[in-house]
Amino acid sequence: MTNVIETKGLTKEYKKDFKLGELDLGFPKGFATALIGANGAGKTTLMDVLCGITAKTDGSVKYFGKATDVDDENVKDRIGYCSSQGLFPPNWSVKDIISSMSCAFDDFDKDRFMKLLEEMNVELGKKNKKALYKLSDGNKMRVYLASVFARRTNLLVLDEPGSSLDPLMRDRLCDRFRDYLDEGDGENSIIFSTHNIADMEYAADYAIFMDKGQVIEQGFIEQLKEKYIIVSADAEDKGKIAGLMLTVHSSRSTVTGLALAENQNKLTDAGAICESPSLQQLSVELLKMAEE
Amino acid sequence: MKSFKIFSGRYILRMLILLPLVWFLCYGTGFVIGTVAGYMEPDTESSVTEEIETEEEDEGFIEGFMSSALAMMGGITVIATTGIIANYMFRTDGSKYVRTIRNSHKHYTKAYGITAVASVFSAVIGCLALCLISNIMLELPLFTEQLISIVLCTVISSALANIIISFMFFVKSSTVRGILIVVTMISTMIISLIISENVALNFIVVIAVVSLVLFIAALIVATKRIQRRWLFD
Repeated sequence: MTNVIETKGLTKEYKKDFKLGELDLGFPKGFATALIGANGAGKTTLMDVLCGITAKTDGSVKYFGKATDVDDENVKDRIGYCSSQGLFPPNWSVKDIISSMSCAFDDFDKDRFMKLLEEMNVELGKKNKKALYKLSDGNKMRVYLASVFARRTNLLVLDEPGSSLDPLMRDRLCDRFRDYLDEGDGENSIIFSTHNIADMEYAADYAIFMDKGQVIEQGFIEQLKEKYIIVSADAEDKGKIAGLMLTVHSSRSTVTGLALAENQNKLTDAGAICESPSLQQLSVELLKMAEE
Repeated sequence: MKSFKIFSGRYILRMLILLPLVWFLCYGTGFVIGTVAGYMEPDTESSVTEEIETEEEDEGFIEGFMSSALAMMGGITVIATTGIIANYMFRTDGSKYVRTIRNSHKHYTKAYGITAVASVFSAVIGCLALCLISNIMLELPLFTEQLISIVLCTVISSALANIIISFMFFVKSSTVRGILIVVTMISTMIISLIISENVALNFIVVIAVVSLVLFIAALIVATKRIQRRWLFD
């Protein structure tokens, strides 16, 4: 499997407040990778470092199998970055965005941008002069996403793309992800972050779980679902199964938690019910495990 | 990559036009009022005393004119520099977009370096132009020593402005940056006035040389800071 981005010993320190890393990661090429973690886990920091928006403290990053500096060759031209906040100056209108994007990126397609905005039902005002700060958060996000999808890129890095979108729009966004990957025929990749994977589960192929600047688990989602199981049992069986579980949550009548699939037979023999987790369940349990 | 300006230059242009206009307005108004008040005073002095007083008034007028011209040029420099630097502040606080563009930090390093150096040159040229216009329009004499003093003080004020402005690249808080701008504007005007009125030419030369050395040092540190992606900390 080839990676679109590889990191070795990647670290970012914000004085004494927060440290990201050291991270040794590979983002698989041709797939959509979800960065999952709670607020403050380091998802945005990681994406900003990868895109050269924030300087790394230490370590190395390799882009598209060759470049080692994000400013080398045409790395940034091949990456489409979208933040959920402050991507463009708030007093800009769509007209300003078009003129600056056209100037900055040769591959920006103005007609495609306008078509995307129309499809997303964004109200732009007369002659597209409505300032961004006058749009709702959801509409702003649509404008940001449209600006990124209107370029010809090989990698999309999207920070919380679904955070301010309604469920219908999130569903359409997932479709657009699949279209983008299909169009690239294995050459296009997506990295997106989310702390609410439930609505975007089927858009992701690979997941990286983060907590407090560290990676706690990563892998292809289907493989992770085979690696872990969700366990449910009666409260009285807690003593028998607790030792086999990674996380334990008990109430008066039941005990639930996460366990490794290799222990499934033992858990079943102890009277527990085991099932394959959804990505949402896996996220919650892994993050709880990291907390503990 | 094509170069482009995200920040509208209209703000800087407005300030550059407005400030000298305000200055001319204030100075012109004061001059007119003073002249009218002078004509309205009773004619009781002897002709010799009047000539001496007129000469003293002219010298005072020249000194006042030059001092305020100097302060104005310092102010223009500050506005021009801070207006451009405000662009970088805005990018830091408001927009991640520019940081997604290839080689953006190299572009900014070059842009800031050119801006800082150009601001010193433009302040000096502007000051010289002002003195020349004053000489032609108002028939004010231009003494060489005064001219040199004025030019050097302009260099000092604009160099000082750039030195203080360079600290902006080391702070993240927009409040602190705002304070730096105000400090820059006030201090450069005050210092340029004090130096022009109270300091001998020799010492002004020394101060100007020291200011330029410090300015170059500040420029190097600030550009290195930008190259290390100060915007991205």
